[in-house]
Amino acid sequence: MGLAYNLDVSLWDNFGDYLSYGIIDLANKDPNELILNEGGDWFSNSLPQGDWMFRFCGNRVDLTDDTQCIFPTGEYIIRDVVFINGIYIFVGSYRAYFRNLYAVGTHGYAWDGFIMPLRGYTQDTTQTAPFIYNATTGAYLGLSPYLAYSGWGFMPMRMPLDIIPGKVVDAIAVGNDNTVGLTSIDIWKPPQGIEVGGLQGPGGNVSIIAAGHQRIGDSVAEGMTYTDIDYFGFVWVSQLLAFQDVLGGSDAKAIRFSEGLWPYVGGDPDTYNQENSGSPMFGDISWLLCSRQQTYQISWNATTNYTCPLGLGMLPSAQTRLRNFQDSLAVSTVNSGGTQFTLEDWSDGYNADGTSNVGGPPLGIDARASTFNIYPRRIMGLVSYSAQFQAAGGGTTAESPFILVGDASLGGDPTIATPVITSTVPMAMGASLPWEWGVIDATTAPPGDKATTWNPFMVAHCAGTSFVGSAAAGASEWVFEGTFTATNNFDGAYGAFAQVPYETTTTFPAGGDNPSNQPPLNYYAVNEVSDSGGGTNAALFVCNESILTPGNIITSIIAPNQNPAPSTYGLPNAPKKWYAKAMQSRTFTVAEEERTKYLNYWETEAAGGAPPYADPITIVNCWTGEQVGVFGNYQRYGLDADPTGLEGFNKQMGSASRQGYGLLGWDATDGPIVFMFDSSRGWLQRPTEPPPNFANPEQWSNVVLNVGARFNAYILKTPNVTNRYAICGQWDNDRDQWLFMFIDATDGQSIVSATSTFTDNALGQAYLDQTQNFAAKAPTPTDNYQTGIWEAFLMTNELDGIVVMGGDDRTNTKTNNIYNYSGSNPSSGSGNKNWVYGVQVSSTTQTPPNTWGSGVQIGTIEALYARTQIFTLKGTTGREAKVWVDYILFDGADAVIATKLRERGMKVSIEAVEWFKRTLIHKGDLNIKQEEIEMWMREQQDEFNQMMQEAERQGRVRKRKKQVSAYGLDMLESLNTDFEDKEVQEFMKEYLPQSRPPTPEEIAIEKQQKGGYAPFSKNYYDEVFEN
Amino acid sequence: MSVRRQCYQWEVADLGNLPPKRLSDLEDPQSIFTSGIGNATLKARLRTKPSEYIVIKYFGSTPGIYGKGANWVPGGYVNFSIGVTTFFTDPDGRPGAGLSGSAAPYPISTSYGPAFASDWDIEIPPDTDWDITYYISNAMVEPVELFPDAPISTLLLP
Repeated sequence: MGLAYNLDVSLWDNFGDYLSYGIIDLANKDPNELILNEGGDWFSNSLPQGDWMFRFCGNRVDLTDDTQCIFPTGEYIIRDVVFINGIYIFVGSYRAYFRNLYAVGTHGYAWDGFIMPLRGYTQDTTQTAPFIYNATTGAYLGLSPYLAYSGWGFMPMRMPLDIIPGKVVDAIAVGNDNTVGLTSIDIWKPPQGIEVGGLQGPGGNVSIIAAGHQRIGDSVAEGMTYTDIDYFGFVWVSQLLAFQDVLGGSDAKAIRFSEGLWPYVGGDPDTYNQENSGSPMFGDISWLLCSRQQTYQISWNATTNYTCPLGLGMLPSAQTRLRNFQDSLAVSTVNSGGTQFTLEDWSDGYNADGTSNVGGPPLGIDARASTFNIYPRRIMGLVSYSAQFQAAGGGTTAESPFILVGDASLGGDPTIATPVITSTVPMAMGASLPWEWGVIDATTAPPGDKATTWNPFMVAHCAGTSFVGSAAAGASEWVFEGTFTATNNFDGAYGAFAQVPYETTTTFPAGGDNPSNQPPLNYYAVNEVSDSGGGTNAALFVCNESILTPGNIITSIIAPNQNPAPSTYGLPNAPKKWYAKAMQSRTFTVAEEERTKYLNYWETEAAGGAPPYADPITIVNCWTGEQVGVFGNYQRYGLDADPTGLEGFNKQMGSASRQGYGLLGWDATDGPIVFMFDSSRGWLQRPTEPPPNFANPEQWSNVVLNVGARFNAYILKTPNVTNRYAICGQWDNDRDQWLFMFIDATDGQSIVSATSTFTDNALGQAYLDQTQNFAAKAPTPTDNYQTGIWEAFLMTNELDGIVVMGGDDRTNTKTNNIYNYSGSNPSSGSGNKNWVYGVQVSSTTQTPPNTWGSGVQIGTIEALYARTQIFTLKGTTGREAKVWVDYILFDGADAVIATKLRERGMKVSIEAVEWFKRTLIHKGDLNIKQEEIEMWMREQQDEFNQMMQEAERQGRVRKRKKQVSAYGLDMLESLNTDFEDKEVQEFMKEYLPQSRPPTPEEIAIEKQQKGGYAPFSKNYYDEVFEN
Repeated sequence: MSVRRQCYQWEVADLGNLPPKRLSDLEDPQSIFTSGIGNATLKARLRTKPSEYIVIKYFGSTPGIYGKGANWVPGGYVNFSIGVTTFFTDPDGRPGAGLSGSAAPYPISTSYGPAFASDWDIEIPPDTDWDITYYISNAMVEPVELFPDAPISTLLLP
């Protein structure tokens, strides 16, 4: 679509400037105040009695709910963001001082993960700004008294409290290890929700999957065999915020600010009124609540390590659904040497260790990854989709599948005195956890219900195997394919991103060879591949088998030291590092855009159900006056004209989707790398496959656009520099265009819009540098901040969304270590994929008040207040078109006269009508004769000529001001406004003899010539008696 | 007042108040009164009353035929439907595109002035269905959403 030639950029400083303060204040607040409707953040609005209100309390040695154990320092890192139902959900890491971190009385600093929702509409107003500040000085004043309406929430993952992150002697290293936390987030997608409105359930829910990893201080004490396991994976699968009634009745599902909202610019929000702040805005918010038992936490020994206290009087069944990672995760048959645990086994009620959840006989196998001494180490990337049909598994369908990528620790000989791991290698993990399980009320579910007792299905595919796996003939499932000038090494590398082409995929596509009869490829981007030459670079792998199948072959197509180099074929050579992935999502249909605006869609007549119908509940964004998509509003992958996903379901490897996927990186020679390709056209052909998938040598083909250099050339400020990094690219399907972010140490941020074709064509240009729109609002951050991320707001009419800019490290030193693998914490790119670091504003101390609860005062601790630069976007083409019509309306009797004039062949004008009127008054006969018309016209002409002659003689013919035209003046008239008014003259010219009505004689002659037919005769009387 | 000189301005702008898909409707002739696009918000079709007679003195539209990207122009054409006929017709009698904004511009500027006499005097008698249509030949929001299908690169992995 047309690029955003009209991009309005607005600052959201009220959030970015005070987030550090807000996190600290929220943690310090008495939990009993959080439960109050207006006083708590989004996670405080929980049922039945404030499920998460004690999330900053309790630890391993003190499980009481009235002891604050997390004291944030204000330092934070944003790593990923996703959009759903009008809300942005951020994940990342924050630093805090933890009570009793190492032992009773031994506190310490550590990093932890967080989930942070932030409403993207009706935001930043007097009632919805989360933080208040002094309007004059800008000094932070505290949390808003209306915090609950802010749409902001902060959920700590409590990783260091659940598992001790290290020994006391390692306290400094623990405190500086910012690699832990949540690294990625995606939507937990219901299979029925591929088409918006398809889900006959709470589509207004905010359901997410978030993943990352936590630090393991003493792996042996945690029950792991090996002494040197340092990290372990961590996953949340959650109906994070649920759509529920508050007061009962249809309108209770929305909060409507009927008294008006004003843009918040500081001070007491209650002092704003129409007199001092102008006309108010009107808007709504959807009222979403959270229920703790709708969250699954999958982590090491979650059932025993979990420390977050339940509130008083809460049933154990209302607890977070805890699943042990080691009990859930199976290992692939390639890694295990044959031991197999399938999706079908799981759907029959079995666990990875062969035990049954439903009382069945044991399977007789134990396929757990931990049994084979394979431990998921770090989870760095995540992608989710709606359904996976495993035809090979008896037609079993995996609902709400997702792929996790990262690395795994491979155990060595476990029998030696001090067992150690042999390596850490890339890992891709397939998983399935049905979305519907998350909306089942665990407190009322029958005993043994799947949702409350079963583990998720998870299977790991590793680029290597353990000592035990090797002994069982296991091997690596990942292969470097091709010829290389140096030996690449998986040890130390990790999976950074995963991509799937469609919302539903099947292992056995229908339709024969069209063209390959094989499922389309998944893509796995890998970082930190070392080689025998001492280099470290990134690589890209593909696989056309389901990630849920227990045995895959994952093959490289781009890798370091490749010979011939990928650039030979138009592809980028292996970049230094992948920083981001780009995934085009399909365009919503008009019908979907209608459905998403109804919070209660399935209760309304629009859904087509049986009566009675509820009135549609819509939510209006106070800033735009537009209805917000609050039902099933999240991105979907697949084909534009295929909302149900049925066509995409049968798409095969080699068949184009016309949807662009890509990966962003950097190379010292080429500069920014933007590697775009068709999400489904990729076709891997091998010597070992029969036709049509045969090729020798092995080859991968696809529609490829390697456009990093093109972007670099279109950037207005210092184009074509090689130290520019491509760091973020997201698609907005409302406007069908990309927005890419680039940075370089000298010029800072560059933001560029791009079309889906990435190529200029007859319809317009494909690239548009938007940087100045940002620099005009926030010049210093735009010119200096070195990291950034953006996310689109969907189901609107604009290119809109949120842009967050931050530092490359704590103080934004511009060393850009994050884009390489060098440096030491906390400015290290080693161990961190990418991030947006809150830039330090001040480094000081704080003394948390501890005015509540039973815990002793924690004392004075660090306070590092940081900021990120946050923008909101609203982009359109700004194009406009106008039509102007200037007309005379004759009404009533004048219309009758005008009609009569027309019948007489006269031009209808004001003068003619007026004359006719005068004549009518004079004679009282509407049937005026032609002779009278002619006479009148000649009299008019004579009178005009006489007037002109007299005027000329008297020297009165001079230019005068023209009456202002109703349709506007041309420029010439503006420059020289005096002109000769020839309106009457021109009018009279129209009635010179050549245009006058024929005389009766002429009519008679013409009548004779035409054999009796007389023009202008209108009726029998005229025809017969006129002459 | 029984004789009134009046004017009507229809305008549409891609500023986010209309879905891009709706704007693409303008690539076919749309009523500037009843289409629902821009300020064409009338609900009923236009028909002169028995006591109304309208004479259109001038009309114009945003000028420009060729222009893309940041220099986009609509390439717009105005036509009139009066009864079952249209004012501007092709030589074969079928409805024509209309008169372009370059020939009858609005607003008038040093770059674009009217190409014809200023008074059109299009008369619309009483009891007549009528409408003014406008269409743009250059898509306001280009319908480009697909990734290219070429060129295909083949990477050999010997």
